[in-house]
Amino acid sequence: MQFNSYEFILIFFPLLFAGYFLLNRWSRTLGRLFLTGMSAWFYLWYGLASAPVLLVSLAINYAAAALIARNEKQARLVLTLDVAANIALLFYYKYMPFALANVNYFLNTDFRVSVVLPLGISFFTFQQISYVLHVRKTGRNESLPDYLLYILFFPKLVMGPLAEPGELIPQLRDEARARPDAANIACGLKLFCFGLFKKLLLADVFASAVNWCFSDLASATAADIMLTMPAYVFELYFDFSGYSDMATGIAKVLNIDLPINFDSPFKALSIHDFWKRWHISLTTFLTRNVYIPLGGNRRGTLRQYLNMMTVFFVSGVWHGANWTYILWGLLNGALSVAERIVDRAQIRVNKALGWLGTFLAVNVMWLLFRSNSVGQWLAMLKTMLRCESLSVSPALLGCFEIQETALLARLLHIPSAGAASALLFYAAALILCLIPENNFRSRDRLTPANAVLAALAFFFAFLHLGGESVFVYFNF
Amino acid sequence: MKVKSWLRLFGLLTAAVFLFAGVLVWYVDPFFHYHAPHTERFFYPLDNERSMNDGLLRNLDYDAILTGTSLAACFKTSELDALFGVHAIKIPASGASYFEINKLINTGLDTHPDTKLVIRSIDRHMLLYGAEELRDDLGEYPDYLYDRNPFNDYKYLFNADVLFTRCLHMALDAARSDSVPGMTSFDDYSNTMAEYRGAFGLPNIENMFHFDLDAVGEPMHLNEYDRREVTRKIQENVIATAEAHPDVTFYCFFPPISLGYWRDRIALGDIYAQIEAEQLAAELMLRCPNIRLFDFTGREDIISDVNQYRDLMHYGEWINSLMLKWMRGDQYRLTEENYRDFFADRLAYYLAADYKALLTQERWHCDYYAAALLNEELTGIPPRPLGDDALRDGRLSLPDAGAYSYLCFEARGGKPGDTLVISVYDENGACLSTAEETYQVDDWQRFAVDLRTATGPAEVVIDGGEELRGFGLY
Repeated sequence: MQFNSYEFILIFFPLLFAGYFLLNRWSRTLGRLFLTGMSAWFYLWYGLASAPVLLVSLAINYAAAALIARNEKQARLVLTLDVAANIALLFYYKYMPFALANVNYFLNTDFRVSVVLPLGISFFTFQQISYVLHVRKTGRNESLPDYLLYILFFPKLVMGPLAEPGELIPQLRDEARARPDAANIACGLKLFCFGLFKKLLLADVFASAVNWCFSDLASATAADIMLTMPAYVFELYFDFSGYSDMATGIAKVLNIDLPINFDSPFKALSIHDFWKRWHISLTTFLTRNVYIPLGGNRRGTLRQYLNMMTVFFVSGVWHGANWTYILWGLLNGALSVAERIVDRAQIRVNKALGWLGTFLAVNVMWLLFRSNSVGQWLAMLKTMLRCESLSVSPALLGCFEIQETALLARLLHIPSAGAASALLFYAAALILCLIPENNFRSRDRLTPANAVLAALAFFFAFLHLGGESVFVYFNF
Repeated sequence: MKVKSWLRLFGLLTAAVFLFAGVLVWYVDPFFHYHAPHTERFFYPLDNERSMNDGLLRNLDYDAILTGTSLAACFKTSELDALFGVHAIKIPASGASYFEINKLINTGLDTHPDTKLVIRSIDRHMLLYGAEELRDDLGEYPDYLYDRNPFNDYKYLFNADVLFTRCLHMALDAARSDSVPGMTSFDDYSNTMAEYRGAFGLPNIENMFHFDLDAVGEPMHLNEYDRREVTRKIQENVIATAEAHPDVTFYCFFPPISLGYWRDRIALGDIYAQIEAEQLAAELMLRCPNIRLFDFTGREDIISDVNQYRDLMHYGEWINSLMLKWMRGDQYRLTEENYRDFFADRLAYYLAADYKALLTQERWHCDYYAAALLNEELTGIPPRPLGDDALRDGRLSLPDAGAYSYLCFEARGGKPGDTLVISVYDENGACLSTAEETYQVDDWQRFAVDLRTATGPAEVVIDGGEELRGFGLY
């Protein structure tokens, strides 16, 4: 199920809210079981195809956690085997076709495999790894219901934010969080409304422009690609951060605090700074479970740089089975290392230049992320650099002309609604990214102005629910 | 701000904006879901078949239904009303399956028990290959507009397209001093003639053939499974409705698709199965006393003339006009006595036809020239030649224009791409129509001026031709 659907807003969430808090009054255990069951329903909404993989993953990891907790001597071995099994599962479903395609290419063979990627496998697999590491660290396995609720908790199940068991499980058990809290409801609703608006009225509009350009790259002009590049950056940001806002907001209504995932990433003054603000829960996971175990910055400068490259390589591989993701990860790693070298040399970079350089680098690298191949990315960069045609295709501008802007253009007697709409969207996106405090940071602030804005955001977003709209990270 | 105040403000404002949107959509109701249109206040464009058809059927007054796929979309209810003495509604459902069209007919008959007449196309190509129920490749089927369940109406009441693109634009239009309220006429509803202007005749037809013109496929005949399926399709989606409404006369017709269509059937080898399926469907329908069945493919002069078509199936609107006339006069009607011979004759004709000759036909360039040549059959009024020098100073006085439908002539002098502007004025000097025609060849080219808007004397002004000749009224 998606947050941005009639089913979720009109049926699932009201039912969950009422059922969860009513059952909590009677029995906290029943309330949590209900929440677990509803989370499973949320996950399996589109069918049972993903169920076997999730069940296998749950069985293996809970069994491994039990062994780790029970037998200190074998804990290390079991942990290693379990992490390997999780990675193998992820590898099989996400990378097997890609790996075989490369084997076939280099060895001239014809191996084939057909797999259907289970929903949210990248996220729940990392949550499983977090859980067994948590058990290894604390030496205590949680009860099966607690474990199941931790993994299946629906707001973060398919797209994060990745939550640490040590932070989430105590909240899910906390008796003080069993009753509805007006402040949490208000803050949660506000976050949800703003997230829904970001997804449906910003991300989806930018997405239509990006899809238009990628569907006919041969006829796209240099100006088209120049506009498409930031459009994809905005699409991805509003899509993913919108989802995170909704997830955090829904959890907040249920009195659960999920970690921050986006902290105004486009205010970053360096790539290193950017990664402290973008998909924070993933960066935190990789830092905690890859960078630090590899030695972090404790084993010399060169080793630190290698560790940084490794973390970004893993991030690239985690994102998908394509050389574009791997190169994207390595480029981010290389730039981070370069920044560290400049830092060490105590070279000061002007803040404005730092911001501009970071924004441009992020744009270029996310274009690679969106491209179907490295060759396609290079071709797009070449078209931009050649600057042969700086005219913008009317069809691209037309992607920004949504129902509201067409009406607005008519009321204001603006003849070319497409161009005006495009300008409006890019300006609004930049302002939202650069000026106000982000939704997560300001989540507890309740003012008349944000009550009005939240109501209007919900209204406009609801009007757009009828269209087809899937989150980008549903594919990861 | 206190939490409860915040929640109160948020809740009240949310309720207020939703209430405003819901009431506005309910009142304007652009898809006629709740009530008849307020045509005294707003102008209702008819431009979305699937979203509007159910509401139109439920909330408008009529006693005859004209429906079918795109092959029925160019019918004019004004012509049907005049010929049959009814007050008809047109419900086009482009690409729709028999099931979907039958569902629409049932809605009309259930809500309008006084309905006397139903005219529907039976698309022959759907007998063997058509969709079973609702085609999802035509877009999401808006169930919420077809059922009476108020709990799913939120998809209509709170919908950006409905609110912003329709209701608010209609309200803004209505507020203009020069606004003319009303509704798209059923003559124009889904009439695709303007959309496909200039697309008739070669080379469009030529590009439609999927196979080599000499290709002949292994003969395929109707097997038992096909027979069962065709029987079920016709029984459930045509005959059952006719039997349930014995007082309603159903005029069903196999549309006169182009001869070119059969070339692909020969190449595939399934022409035998196709004709057998048609014969079986006819046999079933003819058993029903209130179904009158027609097949116009016997008009070989029409089906073998590529200038009548914009592709292998879709004919010009004048063919729709003729079909109404033929049905009224019981022409080309199939009966229990003649249908077997008819289909045997059709099969023999298609197998022996010279398909290559289709590709060497002269192109008339002007779509309505084909209409003009058939107009005598439609109106009973013979053409009247006006001669080569009927034009005086670029003007042509036509005291009897109201009796004719088209003014035809030939012109030369422009190079391809140049235009010829033709305006028609009534006797008071009011402009009835202006059309811009394009020269497509560097030679004599035929043009046809639509005079159907003229009810009396008219004057035609032609701007752009160096040499004009062969004027005639049709």
